[in-house]
Formats: sequence, structure tokens, C-alpha cells
Amino acid sequence: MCFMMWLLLLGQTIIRVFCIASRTSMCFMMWLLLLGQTIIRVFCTASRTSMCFMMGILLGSTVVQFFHIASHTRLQRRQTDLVAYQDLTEVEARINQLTGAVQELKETRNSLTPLFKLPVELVVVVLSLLVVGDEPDAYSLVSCSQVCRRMRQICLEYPSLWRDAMNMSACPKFMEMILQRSAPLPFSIAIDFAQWNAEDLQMPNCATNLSLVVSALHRLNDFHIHASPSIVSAVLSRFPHRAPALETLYLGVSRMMGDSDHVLQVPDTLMMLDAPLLRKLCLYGCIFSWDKFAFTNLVELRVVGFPDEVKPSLTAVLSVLSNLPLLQTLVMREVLLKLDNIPEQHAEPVQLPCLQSLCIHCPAMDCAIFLDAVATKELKVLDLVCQDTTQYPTAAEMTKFYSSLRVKTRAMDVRSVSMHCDFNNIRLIGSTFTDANCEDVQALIMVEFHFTRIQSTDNVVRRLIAFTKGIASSQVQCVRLHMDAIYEADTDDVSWHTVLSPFSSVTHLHLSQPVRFKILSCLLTDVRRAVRLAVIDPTQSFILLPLLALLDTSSELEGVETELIQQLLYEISVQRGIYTMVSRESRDLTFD
Amino acid sequence: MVHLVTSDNVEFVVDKEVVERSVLIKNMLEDVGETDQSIPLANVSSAVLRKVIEYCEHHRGEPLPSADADQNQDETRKRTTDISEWDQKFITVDQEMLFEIILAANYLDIKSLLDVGCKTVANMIKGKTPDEIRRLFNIVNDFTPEEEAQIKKENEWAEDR
Repeated sequence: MCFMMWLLLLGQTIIRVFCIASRTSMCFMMWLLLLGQTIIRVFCTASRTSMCFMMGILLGSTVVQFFHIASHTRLQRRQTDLVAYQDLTEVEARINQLTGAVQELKETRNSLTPLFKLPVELVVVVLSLLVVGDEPDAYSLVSCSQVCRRMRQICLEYPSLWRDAMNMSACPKFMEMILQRSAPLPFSIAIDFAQWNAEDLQMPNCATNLSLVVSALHRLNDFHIHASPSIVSAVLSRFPHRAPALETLYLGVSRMMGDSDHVLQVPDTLMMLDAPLLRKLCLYGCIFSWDKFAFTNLVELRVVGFPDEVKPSLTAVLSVLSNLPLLQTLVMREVLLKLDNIPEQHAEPVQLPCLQSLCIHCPAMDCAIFLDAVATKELKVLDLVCQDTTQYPTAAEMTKFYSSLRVKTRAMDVRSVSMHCDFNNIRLIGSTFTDANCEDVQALIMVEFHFTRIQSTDNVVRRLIAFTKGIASSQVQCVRLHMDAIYEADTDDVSWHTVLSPFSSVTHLHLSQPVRFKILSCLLTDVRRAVRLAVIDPTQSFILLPLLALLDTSSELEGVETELIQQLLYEISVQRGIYTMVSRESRDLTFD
Repeated sequence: MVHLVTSDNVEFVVDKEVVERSVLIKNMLEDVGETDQSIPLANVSSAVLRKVIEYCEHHRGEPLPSADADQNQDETRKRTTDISEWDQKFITVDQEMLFEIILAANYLDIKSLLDVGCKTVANMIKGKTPDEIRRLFNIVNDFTPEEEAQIKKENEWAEDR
């Protein structure tokens, strides 16, 4: 009996321990009850004594006690919890705290992955490579910024990544994001719509992106737009009055299909734009008011394609130039100057102390007048495009021009002169040193003859000879002959020998453009005669015959005495000790 | 010949011409002069150094980018993410090794190898969604719900593109 009592007490203890220790579940308790019942039945069956019955009662009371203790413990705990978090915000704060801790752990976990073992600067290099190359993928950069906190932080802390991702064809919202994330870095935009047709230009993206760019003009340091006048006008109309970061401005106009205008009128407000850092200004096909020109810090000014009907006066141009003391490069091509009101002598030439390169395009005499009107100290390159569409200069005028040029270039220490003259439909390009006393010149000395439609030859040759006498032809080492138009040899008797013979030092002879056999034959005969006069350096001599393969392939060549031409070439090569013969066509020349 | 000792204490004996593709070692050798002493490379394990030497062996004799060309080199690196066929095959390794090679190239200052490594990682990322990038690099999303909402909001445009 004592053993039974002991067993019962043991059972009670175990139940209590279970209750207190483990918040025993209902199922478990039911199971214990069943176990207790079973034990009682066993005892009853075994001994069938009243004592056993008593023990059953004792056991029942134990079970009741167990339930009581269990429910009490649970209640107690719940009450304790409610006491700890009586305020909802506290609970939420706790939740946030735990969530934050988990996120911190996740962040720590990420930092241990191989990618983030790389130093940040290498991760930046990797990210920068996403937006370069043939297939830049700016959207991948956006994806990276959404991967994890660390990656996002890197993406957002390096605005240069976004600046490089800038793309005018991107969707406007993306462009907006790029502009926002690339701040405050200055950026460049190059828009070339010249190849686009009108339908492309109606795409909403382009218009919106352009507006976005213009709205961020305060950060723009290089703006290049080449488009139809209507598009450029639309962009310019939205320019603000101040562009503090702008260093380069290029406005180019192209004719578009269905676009009646092909000249752009630049608004005066743009010419007076407050752009203190602007150094380079290029205006292609634009009309503007020279008297509104307000930029004073330019180092490069290019004005190309100013319409003849609104040609500026030399006075206006000189007035602008007088405000550009830092100017290093001045290009005024296809800009005819109005000289009507120009006095014969300028009191004081405009000082351009930094000017190194000058290209002007106007009649020969106007070139001379312009050169007289400016004073330079550093000029190295002079490129004159001498064209007179109305009348040919007289011989006396030409002599005066050459004389003026020689004096001027010598005074300016010009290293190179390139002349494009269009007299009687012949363009002559010369590039040489005009100062014969300058012995230390090293650059290539070259003369180009660019023939278009040759009609009257006597006059041409006379002019060519006049020109060649005007330069130091004995220094010329390279002669290039360009023939744009079909040369009708039958109607012409140009003595190429006369043209070429002054160039006694020629070592490079370059023939280009489709040369028909007659002119080639004629030319080669004269070249043969000419080069026999030449002083030859066999180690440097070569002939470029870029289109020689046409002799074999053109249908025009029926009846050509190919052998004769080859023989001429052969003679020239032997005569001059030529050992290198270059053909731009794949076919090489071979001589037996 | 130059003796190199890795972090796991393995010694490599390498041709001077090969090992001098590393600007770090080249400068070290120039400073120290001819020596038989081993150069300890505490940041590079033997497995990684073996790969690095394989790369340097293959590119032996190729001109090294000069200090002046740094700018241009950067420009070149920026212009393209193309990798030569041999380099591509060489860099086809497991991800851990790839990043170890990048770290070693950075430490040893081997610009061309660093380029190959960075380009490879960039090419792996290109065209992938954030989820795909996470899976690729075994990264978990550690944004708070607020951050997630913010990101979703600022990228709403991407769904329409």
C-alpha cells in the first residue's frame, strides 16, 4: 500500500512538473487523464479493495488539481504579458525593433557574400561598365539599385554612374530619374536628329526628354544639337537666361523632309545668354544678330553657312572679335562679308593675341582686307577659302592679294596656308610655307589641285602657274590631283607638265577620283616628263594610285591601251626608284 | 626567377617577365633589386595565385599600360565590355574564385586582369531583374517595407516601358 501511495504521489509530482514547466497542451492532459483512469482500473481489477477506490478518488483529485494549476499558470502568464505591453505603440515598436534586427542581420549576411567582399570602388567600376560599350544597359543599373540596401547606397552615392547612363531615347520618366540621380554633376548632351525623319521626331520621348534637358540647363556643360530649324528653334525658345555651367554650345541645322525652312534664326536672348564659362560656340546654318553677340570668353568660334542675303558687315564682325581677346580658333566658312562701308584703311587692327588658327571664306580680295584688319601674334594655321560667285578677280587684284598674303603670313609666322580658290570652275588648294627664310619647318608641304569642270584651259594654266609662282613651289613634296568631273580630254589640251614641273621636289603623287584612261594617259605622259625634272629621294618615293583598279574594271575602258599605261607607270617607277606602290583597291599592280 | 609565397604558405617560382605584369611586384623588385628572398603575398591564396600566374603567362610579352596611359586605358575600359576568347575561357570559374581573382588583380595591380574580372561581373548583371541579381550573387532582400514601397513608387515607369 505504501508503494501504491508512493506511486500516486510520484504521479502527482510528475503531472505538476509537466503543468508548470511546459504549459501542457489539452491533448497531453487528456492523455494523462486516460493514463490515470487506466491505472485505476488496473488497480481496481487487481485488488478490488476499497482502498483502491480511495486511491481512485485521490487520483481524481490530483487530476483536478492538475487542471487547476495548469489554467492558473496560463492566466498568470497572459496577465504578465498584458502588463508588459499595455500600449499598442509599444508593441509596434517592439515589432519594429525585431524587424530591424532581422534586417540588420540580413544586411550583415549580404556583406559577407563574395560580391561585397570587393571594395566599393571596384563595385562602382563594375556598375559603370553596365552603361558603356556597344550595348549600354542603363536599366540594369536601375535593377542594381533595387537589389539590396548596400547596392542601392552605392548606386545613389555615385552620380557619375547615372550621368554616363544618360540617353536621349530613354523613356522620359527614366530620363527624369537619371537627371535627378546624376545631380549635381555637370553633363553633356549630344542630339543628332540629322539622320532622323519627321515621324521619328514626333515620338513623345524626344520632345519630353529635350524639355527635361533644357530644364536642367544649369548643369549642362556641353550641348550639341543638330536638327531641323523647327526643332532647334523649339529647344532654344525654352532656354533660360542663365547657363552657369555651359562650356560648349553647338547649334547645327539640317534640312528635313517636309521642313520648308532650312535656316535658323537664333533668338537675341540666346546670343545674350549669361554663360560665363562658355568657351566654344559653333553655329552651323544659323542667322544671328552680330550686334547682340555677348559672349566674351570664347576660345573657339565657328560660324558656318551664314546665308549670303544677310551677310554681316566686316565692321560688325570685327566689333565682335574685338571682344574676344582669348580667341584661339576662328572659323567663318561660307560666310561672306559685306564690305560696302569699309574704309580703305583701318585705323587700328583688331588685336587677337591668342589666335592660332584662322579660316575665312570670302572672295580673295575680301580675305586680304580681313587679314589686314586683324593683328595676331600666335597664328599658326591660315585657311583661306577664296570664292567669288559674281565675278572673277582681275590679274591685278590677284597679284595684290598674293602680295598681301605673303606679307601678312610672313609677319604672322604662319606655318601653313591652305587656299581654296574657285576661279573659272577650278578649285585650287595649296598648303605650304610662305616664309622662305624659315628653315626649321618640318611639316608636310603639299599642294592639291582639285579639278571640277575643266573648260577653258589656257586661262586655268596661267592662273595655276601664277599661283605656283606665289608660293615656294620648290619645297612642295606632295601633289594631289583630284578630278571630280568626267574629263573630256578631246576638248582640252592642258599641259600637265606645265602645271607640275615647278614642283621639283615632289616625292608624293596622289591621284584620286575616277580618272578615265585618256586623262590618265595624258597625265602620265606629263607626269613622266615632270618627274624627270624632280630631285628624287628613292628611299621615300612612292606613288598612290587609289583607283587604278578602275582601269581593269570599268566598262569605259574598251579599247584602252592598258599596256601603254602600265608601261608609263613602270617607266615612272623605274625612273624614280619606286619600290612601294599602293593601291586602295584590293588588286595589286604587278609588272613583268 | 622570383619566389612568391602565398597566404597559405605555398611557394611559387615564377619568371620575372611573367610576374612583372603585376605593377606591385614590379615596383617591389625595382626597389629591392636582385634578390633570392621570397616575396610574401599575404592577401593571395595559392589557388588564386595559380590562376593569376596562368593569366600572366598567357599574356607574357604584351605591352604593359604605362602610367601616362592610365587615362586612355580608363577610356578604353569604359568604351567596351568585350572580352577576348581566351580570357573568357580563363575567367569561367566559380563565383567565389572570380571575386578572389578580382581582389588579387586589384591587390597585385594587374590592370588587364582586373578589367577582365570587372567586365565579366558586369556582363553577368546585364539584362537581369533585381530578383535575378539577388539569386545570382546569393543576396537577400534587406529593404524595409517602407523602402520597398518607395522603390516601387519610383520605378513605376519601368512597368510601362
